[in-house]
Amino acid sequence: MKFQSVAAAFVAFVLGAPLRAQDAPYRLIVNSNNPVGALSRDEVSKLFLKKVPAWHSGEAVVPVDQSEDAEVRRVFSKRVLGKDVASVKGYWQQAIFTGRGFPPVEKSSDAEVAAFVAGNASAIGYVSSAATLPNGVKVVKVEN
Amino acid sequence: MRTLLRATASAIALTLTAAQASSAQSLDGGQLRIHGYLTQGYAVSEGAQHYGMTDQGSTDFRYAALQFRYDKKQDGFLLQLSGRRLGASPISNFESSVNVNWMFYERRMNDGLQIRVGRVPIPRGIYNEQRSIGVLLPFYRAPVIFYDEGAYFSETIDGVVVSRTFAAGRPWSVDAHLYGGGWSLLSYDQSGSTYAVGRVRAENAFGTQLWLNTPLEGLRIGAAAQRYLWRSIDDNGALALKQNVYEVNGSIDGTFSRLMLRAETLLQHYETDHYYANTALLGYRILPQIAVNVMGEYAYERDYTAGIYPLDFDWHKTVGAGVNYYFSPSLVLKVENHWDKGIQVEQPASPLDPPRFHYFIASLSASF
Repeated sequence: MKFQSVAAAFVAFVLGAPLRAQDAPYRLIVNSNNPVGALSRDEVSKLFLKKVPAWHSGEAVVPVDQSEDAEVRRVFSKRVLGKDVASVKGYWQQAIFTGRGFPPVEKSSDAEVAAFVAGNASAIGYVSSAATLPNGVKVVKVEN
Repeated sequence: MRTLLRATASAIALTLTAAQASSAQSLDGGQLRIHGYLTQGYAVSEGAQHYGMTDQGSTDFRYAALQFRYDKKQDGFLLQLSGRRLGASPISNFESSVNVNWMFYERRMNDGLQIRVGRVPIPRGIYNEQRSIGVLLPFYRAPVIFYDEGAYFSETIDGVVVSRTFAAGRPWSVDAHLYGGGWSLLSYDQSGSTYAVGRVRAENAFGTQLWLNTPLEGLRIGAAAQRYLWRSIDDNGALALKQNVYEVNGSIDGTFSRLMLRAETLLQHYETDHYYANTALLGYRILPQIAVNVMGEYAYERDYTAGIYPLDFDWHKTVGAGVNYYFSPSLVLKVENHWDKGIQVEQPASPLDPPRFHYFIASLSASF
């Protein structure tokens, strides 16, 4: 067991892969009309990287990101997307310059992210754990 | 030197000012996005002229593009204008300073189906859609023996590309692409007493690219096939040679946060010969800002019946090593050296006595 842990840590170090999403200092939010109550870390990652384009209802997913220098984005990127912010930016550069897509819209504060999600039924975003949430959004549990 | 400084200043200014320019603007419910990239290089080659590089050394090496993308709900329109400088390469004689690189309409369905019509990048191998984007490439160029620079391997197709992801969001998923149409490019001939470049046309082309995405994030395995009618055109615009070309290639692309491991293999079947090319790359981020890369390419001909060369011979071999410094994901400085032996050179050459040469490139890439 110990060997497996060491081996996993070694592989994660070499590949630059994520370890675990745990004790999140962020909250994942969706519009309160969205029936989703929980998502796996992998599902959240695919929604934010636009690898899954639509909810089960068929509605296009609209992820919203925090600004590039936000601490909550640094933590979310590392723990959920499995990449640092620079790598995520590289991922989107590849999408842009191969014409395959474009990154999520960015908002500059928790309040702006929450307002965007409240006003858009298909949106998904994240805010810091201390953020005050307005009516129209709900917190989604992130499972490992 | 003055050119290099000017281009470097332009690259930095581009990066600093473009953050606002790249932000989306609302237009009638749609969104216009503007992005761009610029790479400025200095290159010198000793022993042979190779893609514009000579023993004189020059800063006349550049890739630049501006991309305008308008999206409204499920529809999109993309225009990319580009320009490049290839030093002393005769390829430059066939290009204008600004070209319509991409121009296509895109329709995206919610089930993952995507249709593009116009001048569209060909989904083909790891690098074909990003062959001149310095901030993404591990070296100054995409593997040059494999992807070439405007000859034998086109970046775009004038036609239609249909793409769909199967099992999206599952641990194993497949990105499938089908395309059809044609393209214009260049061919070169180094077998005579002078090096010659001419225009060719690929027609009735169709092909496919499949990518198997694995549960290991960043690892995918690709397979592709393509056929087209190759038509070379003489100085008077008349048809000089026509033959069917069939091609298959395979790719392994492991792109992780720190480690990059890529390999590709290609077989092009012409009526007069079989051309094989292989490329491999290993890269590692030793620090968040610093990556080291090594690469190798090997191409050879079999059953060559055109009569100029032996039946079987090595076309070209190259190995390269480089170090990249990332000021940010949008600003990258690269220094690299390559050691070559082969006939993919811009001068008369024979596989019986192939030139040996090496070249050095320093470049700065920016994007927004």
